[in-house]
Amino acid sequence: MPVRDITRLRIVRLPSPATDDEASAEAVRRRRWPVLALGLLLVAAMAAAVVTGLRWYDHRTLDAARDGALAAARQTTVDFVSISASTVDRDLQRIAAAATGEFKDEFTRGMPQVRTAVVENNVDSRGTVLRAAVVSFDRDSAVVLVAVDATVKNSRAPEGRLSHYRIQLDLTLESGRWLVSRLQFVG
Amino acid sequence: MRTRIVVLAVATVLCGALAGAAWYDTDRADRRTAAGNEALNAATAATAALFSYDYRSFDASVANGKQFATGPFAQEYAETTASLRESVRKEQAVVRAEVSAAGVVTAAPDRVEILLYVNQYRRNLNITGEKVDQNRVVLTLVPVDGTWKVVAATAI
Repeated sequence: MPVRDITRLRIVRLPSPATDDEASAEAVRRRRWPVLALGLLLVAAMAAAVVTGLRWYDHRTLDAARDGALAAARQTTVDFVSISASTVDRDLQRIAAAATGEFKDEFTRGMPQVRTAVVENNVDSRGTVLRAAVVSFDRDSAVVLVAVDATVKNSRAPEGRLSHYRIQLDLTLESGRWLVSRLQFVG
Repeated sequence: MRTRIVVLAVATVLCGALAGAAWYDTDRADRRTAAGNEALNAATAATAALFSYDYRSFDASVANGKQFATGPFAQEYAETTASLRESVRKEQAVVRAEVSAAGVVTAAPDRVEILLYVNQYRRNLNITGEKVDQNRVVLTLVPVDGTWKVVAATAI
């Protein structure tokens, strides 16, 4: 049906001389093509915006993962080497709360001995991060190096002794939080 | 009709600008990441070359190390190795540097800071057997004609 209509339209209109009606129809058509062209351009621009926007969002998520893992690694490392006899339970709890998996198991298992040693030797240790660096990372896991120094005071060294550490941490993102699944001193 | 054109044009420009901004930002992030990865690889190779030497081939070690240095560090490296030369021969010193771990501290397309855990295995006439120094080294690298070179090095 529509095909026949168009055919008829053409047959009727084409041979006839230009009338006012036809001239204005031509004008409308002429004015319509910029709209059509702009419409196409808009569609292309929208498509480009969506594609680049998704990629941009992807990168932002990755950047956020990197920053989150780095911040968690720094904090946990400082906590790990900052333990005092006077606040030992809170200090150990803080580390356990930032841990998961293998590291959490190991750490909580060793906690009673650490607690005893800290209290008996009157340990007071304070750590400072010198540098933190990302070895590798993705959306939900990361490997981070943290170079940390700690001043360790105890009954035998009341003035304190400076220790240098080379620490490497594995982290995983669990329900929105970066937790340490492995902490090792690099040999 | 005119309003429609204006609306379409404005929407097109806005979408185009959005796409452009997103592309620009992503491209910058990509270049940062690429710079970090390239510099990380270069730093590992540079560390082995810069912090190893052998009294039997000291000049060759230094010539090899020099390739990885640029700017102020090239100067520093030349001076340090020149001042070491005599004692290295006398003590028959052999130092082998190995990277245990390395990561990116900060990365920009034209400047990257790398943290490395470096073990230096030392032998010389004054010590029996081999001694190990466990160091933490920060290297700053910059691109020079397409390759990343060390412009600053510090032990922390």
